[in-house]
Amino acid sequence: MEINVKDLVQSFIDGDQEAFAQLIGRFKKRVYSVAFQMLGNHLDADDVTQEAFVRIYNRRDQLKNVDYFASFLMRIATNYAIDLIRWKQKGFVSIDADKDIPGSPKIELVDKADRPDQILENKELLDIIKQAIKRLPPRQRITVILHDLEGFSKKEVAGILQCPQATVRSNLHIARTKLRKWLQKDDKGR
Amino acid sequence: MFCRQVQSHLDDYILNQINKELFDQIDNHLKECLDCRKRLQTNKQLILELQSIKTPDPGDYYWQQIEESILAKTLGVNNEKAELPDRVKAEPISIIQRYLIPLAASFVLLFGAIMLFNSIQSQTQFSSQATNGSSPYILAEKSAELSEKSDSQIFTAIVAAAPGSLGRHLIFTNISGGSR
Ligand SMILES: [Zn+2]
Repeated sequence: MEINVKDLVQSFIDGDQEAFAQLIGRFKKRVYSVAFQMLGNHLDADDVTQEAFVRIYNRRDQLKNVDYFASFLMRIATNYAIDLIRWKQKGFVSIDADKDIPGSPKIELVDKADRPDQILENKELLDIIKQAIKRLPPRQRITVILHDLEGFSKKEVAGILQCPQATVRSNLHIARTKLRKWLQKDDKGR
Repeated sequence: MFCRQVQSHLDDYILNQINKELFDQIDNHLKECLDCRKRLQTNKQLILELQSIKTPDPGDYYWQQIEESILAKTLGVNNEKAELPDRVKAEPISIIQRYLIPLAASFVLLFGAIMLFNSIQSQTQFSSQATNGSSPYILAEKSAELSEKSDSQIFTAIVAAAPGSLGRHLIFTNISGGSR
């Protein structure tokens, strides 16, 4: 029978290594997925995932309530991911254009006329949306990723980002409005 | 309800994240307002596209390896006294295994190489003497003798280096590569 997460977390806090191993097994894919969507590549996603688990291990004494393990872990992961994004924005490593600058044509236009294939078009559209997500400032980006891509509820997102649900709601609204605007502009540009 | 109000709730309406009363009000407005219906379609498309973005799976090998890597980091650095789960327990390597055996193997290797070099040098002298005016048959016979002789030296070196498998491998590779 599978041990429930609460019991595992309690054992983990009490210093049980096997419980920690099991928690890694249960949460690694979720952490990796959020990190991948935030940073857009495997190496950074791997870095964030490993670092998040190492950090929660070191801070396990701060886990007063077993219910908060998942949001605590995701918070550590997203904070680290945001740090990485900001670090890259400062120009230490230039991988992608990441600043939300109004009017800057960062989305690559795709010439649809040569490619009538519908599947290819959908793939292209997804790529364009992914690029557009990268243009969002980190807090809006993480909100969209957690809520719309990864399916966390507004309450869960608020718990992870440690902000009121109203902030989540407004960040989502602003982010989606920007995305729509950019995508429409992109569409007209074709 | 005004269009502005309706449009501010459209995403929640699409995701069914509003109460019944508000849902019905928006529903009624949409039946009458073409602008908001168009807006609904645009919003719906983006939300569906966002939901369809999937993370590529790096594969089972990665998932296994990342788990081991995290465990090694946390157990190795922060909690040396903690008991290791079976999967991360490494076989203990003694100082003898780690340092002395490779050292011994290196000496044997050096010794073997010197012996072999001397033997090849003397046999090369012999071969060049034999080439002058000898029949191909005699040459072949001498060559066989030569290879037999160096084989026995290789064997000696291998036996001497037996405990250090890396040393043995190196000796065998070097000698066989050099003499044949
Ligand atoms: Zn309207």
